Amino acid sequence: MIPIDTVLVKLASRCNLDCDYCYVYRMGDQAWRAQPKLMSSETLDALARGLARLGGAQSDPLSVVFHGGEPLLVGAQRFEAACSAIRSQLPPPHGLHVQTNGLLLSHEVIDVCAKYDVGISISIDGPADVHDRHRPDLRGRRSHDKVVASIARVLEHPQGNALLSGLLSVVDLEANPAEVYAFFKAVGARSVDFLYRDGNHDLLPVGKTSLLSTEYGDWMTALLDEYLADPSPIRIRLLDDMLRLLLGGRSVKEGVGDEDYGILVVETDGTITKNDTLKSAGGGDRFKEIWTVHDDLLEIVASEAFKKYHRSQKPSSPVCLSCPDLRVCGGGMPTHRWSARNGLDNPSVFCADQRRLIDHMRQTLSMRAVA
Amino acid sequence: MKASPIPEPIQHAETTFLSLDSAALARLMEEVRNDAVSSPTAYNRTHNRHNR
Ligand code: SF4
Repeated sequence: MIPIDTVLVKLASRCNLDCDYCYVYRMGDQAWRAQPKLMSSETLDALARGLARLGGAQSDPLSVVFHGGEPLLVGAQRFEAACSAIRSQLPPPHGLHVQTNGLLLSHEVIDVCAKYDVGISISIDGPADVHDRHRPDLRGRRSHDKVVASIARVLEHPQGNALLSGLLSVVDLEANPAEVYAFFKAVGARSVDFLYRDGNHDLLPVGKTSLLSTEYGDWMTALLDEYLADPSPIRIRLLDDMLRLLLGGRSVKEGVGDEDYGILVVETDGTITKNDTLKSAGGGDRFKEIWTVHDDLLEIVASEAFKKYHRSQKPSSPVCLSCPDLRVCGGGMPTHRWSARNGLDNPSVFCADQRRLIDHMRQTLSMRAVA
Repeated sequence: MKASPIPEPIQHAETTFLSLDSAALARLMEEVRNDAVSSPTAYNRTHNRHNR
């Protein structure tokens, strides 16, 4: 059976921010409109029972992530009910996390997270000017101050350090990498991850002038230098994963390295879909079969259709298959490989960026190697 | 499907001799030596996508 690593649970299909780079609402896919705004308790209960069976059938624990839209739009009470439903069936060591934009992260919600051992990951793009350029609320108002206040609120909690899993940032090429890194340190985060702007071969990510240009690779290279020079560094997951692979270790990030990454995505109506970032790749996140949480998850994961989809996440382009950097790069996220002409049979749209960054990592490591 | 080619390796043995002037690198080398695997509650499993 394909081991499932992550189960992404869309508690809410809407959001209270209007980010300009959003893959759910801003990249042409309108499926969210047909989804119920919130996941019902019946759906959650059925999902929790299904996950208990699935978790029991594999050796590694699951990592369940409440997601959206903005998952905390369900309100504190329903959020607690959701945590209780999942935790009653999936106690630790199964992981439970919430990925939130932070606007609704009240003391009450933080207490619920502490009670049910729910890790909190908060989306924030860096200093105010950077963040507010891209993440306004639905009326166009800035959101940065509120998010920073929420991070502080989590950290003030007696279990705050353990509760705050990390921060998640989308790279803005106009931002200064050193300033962004300094901001994340100052805000008290122990760990940050960076995502590139979404895009594919038919619609280049913002800031990339061509497939051969290396704007994102240059930005990450500058961030890497800052990171490696810091005497008391926080964590940068993307860089850690790639460096660890170069040093002979393992990675855990989807789209990095060549580890298998099994993912189930559950929409608010209980439908099981493919990797949700494929929404921005021609709406290709749907299975032909209509599966829901009321079906047997074990059967779904064992089905030919699921296996085929799972295999399709692996890099298949001849360019990647003969690439010396494949083991470190992993060929990128499926959505970044897509084109209408070749489907997923392309290298990542960030291929040149990845090569630039990996080259720099190699040089940096060999400069430090003492003969 | 062709097997994944292995990149130019920076071998374990070599990493033993890496200069430790970078705290981030020293930490990673320690993890690689201990073959650290992510725990499901660790920071590094949540972050694949924004809530957006
Ligand atoms: S995307 Fe580029 S760097 Fe990454 S494995 Fe494919 S060819 Fe190599």
